[in-house]
Amino acid sequence: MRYQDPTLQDKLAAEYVLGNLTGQARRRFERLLLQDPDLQACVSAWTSRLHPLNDEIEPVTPPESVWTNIMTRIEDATPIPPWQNTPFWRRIAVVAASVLLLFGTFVYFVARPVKHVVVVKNQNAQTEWVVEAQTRSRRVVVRTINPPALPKNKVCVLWLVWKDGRTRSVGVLSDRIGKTEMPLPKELVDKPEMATVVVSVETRGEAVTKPTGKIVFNGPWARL
Amino acid sequence: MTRKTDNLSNVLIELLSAIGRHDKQAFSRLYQLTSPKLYAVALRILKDEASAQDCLQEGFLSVWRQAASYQPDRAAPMTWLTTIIRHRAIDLLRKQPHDGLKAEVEATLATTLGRVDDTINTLAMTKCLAELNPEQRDCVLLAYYAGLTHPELAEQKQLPLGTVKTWIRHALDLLRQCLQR
Repeated sequence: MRYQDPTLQDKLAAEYVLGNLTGQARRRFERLLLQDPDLQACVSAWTSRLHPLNDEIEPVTPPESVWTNIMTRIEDATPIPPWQNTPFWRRIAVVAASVLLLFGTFVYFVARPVKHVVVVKNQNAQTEWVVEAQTRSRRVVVRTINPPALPKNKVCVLWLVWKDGRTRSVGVLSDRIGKTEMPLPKELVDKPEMATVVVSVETRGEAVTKPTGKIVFNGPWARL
Repeated sequence: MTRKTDNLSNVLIELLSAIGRHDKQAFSRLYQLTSPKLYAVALRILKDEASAQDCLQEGFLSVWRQAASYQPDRAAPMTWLTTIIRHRAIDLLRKQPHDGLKAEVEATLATTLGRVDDTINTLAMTKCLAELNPEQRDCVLLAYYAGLTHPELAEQKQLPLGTVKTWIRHALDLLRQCLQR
C-alpha cells in the first residue's frame, strides 16, 4: 500500500504536524493515524521536533468564563446517580426490596435453625453415629450408621462436657441402624459449641451422672 | 530540557494521571498551569479571541476525556497538550472564511518572525531555523504559527503552488537533518 512507504509517511506526518494537510487529505491521514503505529511514531517525532517553535509564543491569560464553561460542561456530562434520577414509587420499591433482602439475609444467617453435628467414629475411622443438635427444635437427632458390637449389658452413652466440668447425659446411642431423637439439654440450646461431645460405654440400666466406663469418642461439634 | 521544564513536566504528568481518574482538583491545577500558554497558541493560529476561547474550552474538554490515554513515554505533557489545542485550532481555522488573509499574515509576520531568534529557548531549533533561506523559513513559520495551507502560502508569496510545496518539503527535510545532528 502506498501509505506504507516510510518516506511518504514521514512527509505526510511533517505536513500534518506543521498544519498544512487540509480537507480530505487531513481526514484520511487522521484515519490512518489511528491504526498505524509507524505513522504515529512519525507524527510524534515531528511534533517533538517542531514543538520548540511554541517557546516564542508569550502566554496570555484567558478570561475566567472559559474555565466556568468547561466546568459547566463537565458537570452536565457527569451521569446523575440512578438514585436521584428515579421516580418516587420506584425509590419506594427499591427500599422495600432492600428491606426484604436484609430480612431474608437475617433469617438465613441469624434466625435460621442452627445445626451442630458431630460424627462419632471408631478407631478404624468408621462412622458409628452421626449426631445432630437442632437448637430451634431443641432436639438431638441420632443416625446410627455402623454401631459397635457390645456385650448385651453394655450401651454407648452420649455426654456433653463443658470446660468448667459440668457434664450432662444426653442419652443412650441406639444400636439399631436408623434415626432416633432425644431432647436437647437446656444448656446446649444457647451455646452448644461450648460443650464437647463424649461417648462412653456404660452398663445398661445404670443411672450415672458422668462417664464411668471406657470413653470411645471425644470431640467438638461442627456448626452447619 | 532545563531543570525548570523538567519539574513542570513531572508535575503535569502527575496531574494528567489524576485527571485520568476524573480528579477535578487536578484538572483545575492543570488548567491554571497551562491555559495561558495554550490560549496563546490558539490565539496565534485563530487571531480572534472568541474563536481562541472556544478552541481552549473544547481542547480542555478533550483533555478531560483523553487524559487516561496519555502516555508520558510518547510525548512530553506540554507537547501533548499543545498538539490537542493546535489541531482543534487548525480545524476551526479551516471552517472560518479566509477574508483578510493578507492582513492576518502580515500580523503574524510582524509579531512572530522578527522575534523567533531571540525567544525560542531551544538552541538547536534557533540554529536550524537560521540555516534555512529566509523564504523557506517564512513558509514553515507561517504554516506552523498561522495555520496557512499550501494554497494560502502560494497566494501570500505570489508563487506557484508547486514551488511552495517543494520549499516546505525541502525546509522540513533540512530542519530534520539539522535537528538530528
